[in-house]
Amino acid sequence: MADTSEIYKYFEPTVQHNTLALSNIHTLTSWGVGTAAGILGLTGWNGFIFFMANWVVISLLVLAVKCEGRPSVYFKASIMDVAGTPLLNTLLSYVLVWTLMHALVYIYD
Amino acid sequence: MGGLADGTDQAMFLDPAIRNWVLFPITVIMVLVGVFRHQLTILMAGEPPKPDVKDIRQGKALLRGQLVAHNNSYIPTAAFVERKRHLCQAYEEGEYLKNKASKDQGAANLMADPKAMESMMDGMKKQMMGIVPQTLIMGWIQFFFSGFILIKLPFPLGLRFKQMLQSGIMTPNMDVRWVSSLSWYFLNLFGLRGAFALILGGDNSADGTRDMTAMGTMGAMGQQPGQPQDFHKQFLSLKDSLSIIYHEWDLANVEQRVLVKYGKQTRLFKSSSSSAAR
Repeated sequence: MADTSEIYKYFEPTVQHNTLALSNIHTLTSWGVGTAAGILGLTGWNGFIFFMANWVVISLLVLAVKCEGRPSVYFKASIMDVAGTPLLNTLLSYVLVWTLMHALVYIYD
Repeated sequence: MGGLADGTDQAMFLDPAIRNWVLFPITVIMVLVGVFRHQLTILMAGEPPKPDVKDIRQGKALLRGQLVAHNNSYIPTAAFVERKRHLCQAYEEGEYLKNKASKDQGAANLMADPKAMESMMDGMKKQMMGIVPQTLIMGWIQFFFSGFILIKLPFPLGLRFKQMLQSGIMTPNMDVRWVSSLSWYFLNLFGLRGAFALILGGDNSADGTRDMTAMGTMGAMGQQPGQPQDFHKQFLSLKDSLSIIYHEWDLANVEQRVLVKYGKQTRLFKSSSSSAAR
């Protein structure tokens, strides 16, 4: 009765593949955003607000372009999986790159 | 506190030599050690142990009982009663046990079962792979790179962190944002997980934080890697839970329910098939 394509979001290897692809997207974009934040010299709360704003933009882009507007086809928990679960991991990556770039530009001679 | 970097907070500049000889090397070493650990884990894993038929049968029999108990509303009452009767009798007599003769002797001695020993050794080896590199790197950093400021965090932290992040530097007034090399190690530890997923694929063994959580659960659980399960006791308790289920078939009387739903019949008539299991 269900669409055969729906099976794929429960099938373990495809779930892993999707999660990995999403994680890679988030890792690379967080490096870019972190570099931008570091070079711009954002500190404190501004840095985190910048991260959240970019997070929203990138999540919308992923939903629109990669998921073609229908995240429920690709992920079990739909939008939460795309925008909620990778948040912490990406935040940690972002902080690392942000700290690095900020120090390289402003702290070292 | 926020805003762009201004001059009113403690402005200091650091020697670029620190950047070249501490900052980059720590990151590079952590990445390389992670990759090395991943490859070494793959090398050491070898063949997965071939399980015994009787072992599997034990586990699957338990699972089947649990499934019947959980999904009992999907099958008609007569079918459920038949399954229940068969399973309960089998559990009682120990039909599915690996070692039927010893069913009353309690959990098997861990040392007596060679397969259990092997799987325990494997688990311990994996743990060693996890803890040892992290400890080594931390020790190496403490030894070589202590006593100076490495980097300034772009975000503020509470004063409680000062002791941990500025360990070894005796300046009571310096901003918590100026930190030592150990905090750079921690930043890398958490931040490189994404990088490892990128290079090594999703299921990699290079993640340092996973070992920290594993260490925590190992300490809490004590010495139970899952082998000393007394299957006989579990079978008996499953038999009990099967016996007390009040069975109701989801599709009982479904023809009448459909008719009533579409308005072809005004009310439900009680039929004999809708009685609950004895």
